[in-house]
Amino acid sequence: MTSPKVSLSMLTTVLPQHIDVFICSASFEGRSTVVAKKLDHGHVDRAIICANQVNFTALINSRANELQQMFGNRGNIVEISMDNPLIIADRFQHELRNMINHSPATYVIDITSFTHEALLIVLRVLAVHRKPTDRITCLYNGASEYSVGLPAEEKWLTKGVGEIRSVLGYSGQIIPTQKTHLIVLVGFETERAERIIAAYEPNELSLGYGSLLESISPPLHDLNRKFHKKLREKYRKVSEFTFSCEDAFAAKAAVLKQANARPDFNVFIAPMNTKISTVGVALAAFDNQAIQLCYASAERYNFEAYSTPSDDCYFFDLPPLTAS
Amino acid sequence: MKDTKSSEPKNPFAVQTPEDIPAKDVVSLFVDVFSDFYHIPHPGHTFLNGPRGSGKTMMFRFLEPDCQQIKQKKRLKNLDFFAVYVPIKNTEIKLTEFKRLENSRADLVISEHFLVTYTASKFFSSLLKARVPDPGNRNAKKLRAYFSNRFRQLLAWSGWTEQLPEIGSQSNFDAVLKHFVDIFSRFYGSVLAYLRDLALDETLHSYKGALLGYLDFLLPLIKDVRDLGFLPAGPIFLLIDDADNLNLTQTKILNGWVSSRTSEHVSLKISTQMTYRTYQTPTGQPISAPHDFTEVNISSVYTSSKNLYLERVTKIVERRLQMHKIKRTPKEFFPVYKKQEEAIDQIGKRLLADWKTKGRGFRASDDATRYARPEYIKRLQGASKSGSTYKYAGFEQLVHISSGIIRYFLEAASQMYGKMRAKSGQTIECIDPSIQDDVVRDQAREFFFAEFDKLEADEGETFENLSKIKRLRNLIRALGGTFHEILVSNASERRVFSIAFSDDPGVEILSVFKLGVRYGYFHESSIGNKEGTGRTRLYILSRRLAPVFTLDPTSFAGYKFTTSGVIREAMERPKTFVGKIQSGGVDALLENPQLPLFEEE
Repeated sequence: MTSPKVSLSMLTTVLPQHIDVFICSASFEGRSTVVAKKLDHGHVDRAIICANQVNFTALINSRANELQQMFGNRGNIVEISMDNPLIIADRFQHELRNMINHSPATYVIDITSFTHEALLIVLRVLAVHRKPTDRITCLYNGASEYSVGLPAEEKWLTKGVGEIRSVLGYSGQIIPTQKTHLIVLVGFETERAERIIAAYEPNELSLGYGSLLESISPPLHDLNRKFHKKLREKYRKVSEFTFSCEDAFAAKAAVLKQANARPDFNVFIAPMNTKISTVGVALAAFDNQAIQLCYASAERYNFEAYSTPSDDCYFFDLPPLTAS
Repeated sequence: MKDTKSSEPKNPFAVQTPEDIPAKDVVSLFVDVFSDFYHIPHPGHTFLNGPRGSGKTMMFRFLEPDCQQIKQKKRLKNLDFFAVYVPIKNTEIKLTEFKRLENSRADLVISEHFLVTYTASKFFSSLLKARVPDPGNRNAKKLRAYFSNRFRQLLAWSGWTEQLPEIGSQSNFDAVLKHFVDIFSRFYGSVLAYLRDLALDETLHSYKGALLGYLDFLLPLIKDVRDLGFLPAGPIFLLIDDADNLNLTQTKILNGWVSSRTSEHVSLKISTQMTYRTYQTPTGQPISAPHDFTEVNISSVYTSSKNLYLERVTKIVERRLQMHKIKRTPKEFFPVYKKQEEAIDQIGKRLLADWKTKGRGFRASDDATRYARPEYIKRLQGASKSGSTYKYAGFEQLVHISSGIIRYFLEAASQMYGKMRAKSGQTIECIDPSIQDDVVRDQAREFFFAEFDKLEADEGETFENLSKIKRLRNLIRALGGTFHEILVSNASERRVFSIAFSDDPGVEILSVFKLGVRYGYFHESSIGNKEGTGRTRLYILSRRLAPVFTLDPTSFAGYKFTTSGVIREAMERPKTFVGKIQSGGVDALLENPQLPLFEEE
């Protein structure tokens, strides 16, 4: 299973003719503007441009301004904080409430360059605020390369790990007498994954990697396998599974299957692969409210060479989201 | 789904979560360290501080009733205490939604209620796990009566207005316990539901439900249940594991429990990974040792004597080898690199022979102990311009490199075992010295480089602009390089791993050392100050880094006094710092103490 993919130059052909709300995140990554550039800006009513105002402020400000210029006075920069998830939820909700006065019905989210945590919170907020008839389309520009220019064994995206926390809105239904099952969707960050595993010391550990046929590209799959293998070798008893990096619904099914394999455990999931798979994890948590999602904040990003954009864009519509 | 390693023979050094180890295996594997940590199995509140992997959870597992019944060869009722394991897993208690409550009055009461329900739930599930004998259903009858009367009353006083479920008159002991567990799970679940509603809600709404507190609910509940007669008459130990994972409010609440001095009935045994948030109570009063609790620091115990930790690890490894039917002593299983040790012996003999004319130590054997290995490393360096051919092999050397943290030893040993099996098949009689050396070097490199980026320190940056991480990396580079220079010098004490401050280091410098302690690069201890008028902080570089800087890990008796100005320079310009040591000698920057940390044994 894969989500449909379209060349960026053809993006408008697969989108609703009129977009009431476009949501994106300004980041240090060049990828954060490539999707927005290809939209028909005249057909976008409002744009919410999330911009982290704590780290890398100058670089992010310049991307945020670039994005705002695309939409003129219909674009609004929403200052959020990587360090405080409450701010992400509150500011984003505030924006949506303002929009709701205009009765939006079509939302398009460029999920590419949100942090995993911010994306999950945005989805939770949308789940609360959307009407059943609203259409929400997700767009994702896969990277053609990560940690650009470095050989495979030296590639890195983040260094250092700050706080490990539950994701706001995904606290799960923990039962104190049950054991712990931690599911990690491994990406390219073994240190972050290791710190999460160390923090939870789970009774059961599941490490997932992207399946070959459902990865963004074979080289990225190989790299993902390398990081997964490196991680797996560190732990004695590990359940392996694969998931789709390019189909949220398939990723959702894979993590639910993995979670259900240990029915009497408290399940914690750390999504660390593509944002598409992170959407899948959110959908799984909407379905199974017992699941808690967790996130490890990074101390340093490879902002100089994080990724290069590809020429394609994945697109898929979200089903009605059940808000608890 | 695939269990990746289940088909392979068991690795004797595999690290398992202690919670999952059966009681008889725990008793077989556990080396009784309570003579080093006397306060832990005795009544009284105790903080047990130690880095991750230093054996805290295993100690707690050993205190649980299933293990104690085997160890003490006593029935449950006759044990000295009843221990309840209360793990504080990272985000089971510290939920992000609690941030919504910060600075509100609700924060304290709801957080306390949450902690109480969690702990009560663990208490009753421990009773279930303990398989309390119940001849003639007498205990079930007592517990049923308690549930229907006093427990109902306690709940009512806490604001519970709902009907309690009825317990059948024939319910056995375990069935009654399950009713208690269910009730506390329900309480816990209702707090989670309240928090879920708060997630996206900027305005706090009121919590409707019972609010349980420690003094008015949990303490009387535990005392009552203990007094029903099927538990030991001694105190109940609540083993709060990894309390660093509590948020600030929860930490203050736990400190409030400590300050209540209830240890005759309930003793709190609190483990931390040295990042405990505060010792303040909710009222702002601090708790302190020895007034409110006793404190045990694993690293301090194992860095105050060279041989204590070696003895502990020897016993642990002996037991693991025995369990896997490997008839080798630890020294036989992890042999030294013979050629190297023979060369060091030769140097030692030469030092013994020369002692009368050139000796520096009190006894001839002192010179051999202190100088033979450093001299060998120095000669290797002279011969090849690199000390890298020195082999980190041999049981004792491996123990010293693990720096007082048993998991570091076991993880390295586990990897060595895996590599050896890949090389020579299923039957392993010993680990090749070259494999020992490879694994230890790899781990040291990873330990140092994985945390710090590979960018070279920007020597031009000012102290104020350097990030704390960069300062820490520079500091380690400067001290590691300096300690190497001392090792290959003609100094009288060459095996130096520590520095102590002769002045006030100030908050900024201390924060860098604290970061180093948190990541395991340093151990913190204290030592008599230069003037002999009090104590000063001592920082010991982790011997896990010995292979990175080519240091001799077999002793860390030596240390140097330094000042904040010197350390500031080390944090700013590590290369210049080491260069000054190389050109001007160590005494140009660091001062000698009067005595070593401990006498060589």
